[in-house]
Amino acid sequence: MSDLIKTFFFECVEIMRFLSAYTFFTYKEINTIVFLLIEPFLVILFFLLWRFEKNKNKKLRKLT
Amino acid sequence: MSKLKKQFWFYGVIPILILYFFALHFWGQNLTLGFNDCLPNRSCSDFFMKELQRSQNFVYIISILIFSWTIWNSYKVFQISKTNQNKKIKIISRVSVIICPIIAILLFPFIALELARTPSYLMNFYYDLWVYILQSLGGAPGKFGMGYYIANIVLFVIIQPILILSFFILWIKQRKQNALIQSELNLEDQ
Repeated sequence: MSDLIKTFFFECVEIMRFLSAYTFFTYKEINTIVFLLIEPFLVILFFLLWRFEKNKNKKLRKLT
Repeated sequence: MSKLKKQFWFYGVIPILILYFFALHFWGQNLTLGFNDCLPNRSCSDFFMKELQRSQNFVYIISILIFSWTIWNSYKVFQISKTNQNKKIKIISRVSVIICPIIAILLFPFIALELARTPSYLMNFYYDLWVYILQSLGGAPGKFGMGYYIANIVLFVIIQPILILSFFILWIKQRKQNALIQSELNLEDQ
């Protein structure tokens, strides 16, 4: 099991290394951009959009 | 939120700023590669020339994208603000979609070079902080053990994508439901 986790982890690291070489970012920068900026931003964005539609739904239901 | 505000911020400022950041990065890389001594001496390796070509391709693509987006945004802001009653907002929005891109273009080469020269301390600090948090979550602060690998995979490869997907699905479902109610309301009005 531990070998599987290690292999999976290092495969992900390889993908990030490839991305970093391709886009002229350093490994740390590409990691920060993808996992610490873009992913949390998308989580917050879709959560807010969902809440916005939910509130809109409440208002529409009051009208019906 | 008014249509003008939505256009200005969500379809204008935010995406253009993100593109501007990436443009700064690629231009910075291209400028530092372009200042290499091997270019005037014509002694560059094939690998270096390929890298330079690749970085130039990035620069062209992102420049075209950012220019066309800015022009489209200015056009849309002008068009939408025609119907705006508030003169102050109308003038501010129209002036800012012209002045801000000009300032951004003038500052661009200086910021790009400066960014390429200096390592990104803030990003490194943010990265190292998260490494420490993940190591602590894994049960061994300061060490890259199995706990660190598991915490990394669980948080960034499993939990975050699941959250993104689930909120995205919830948003789409709710939107469809709202559109249905809205159409029913419109039918009742008719």
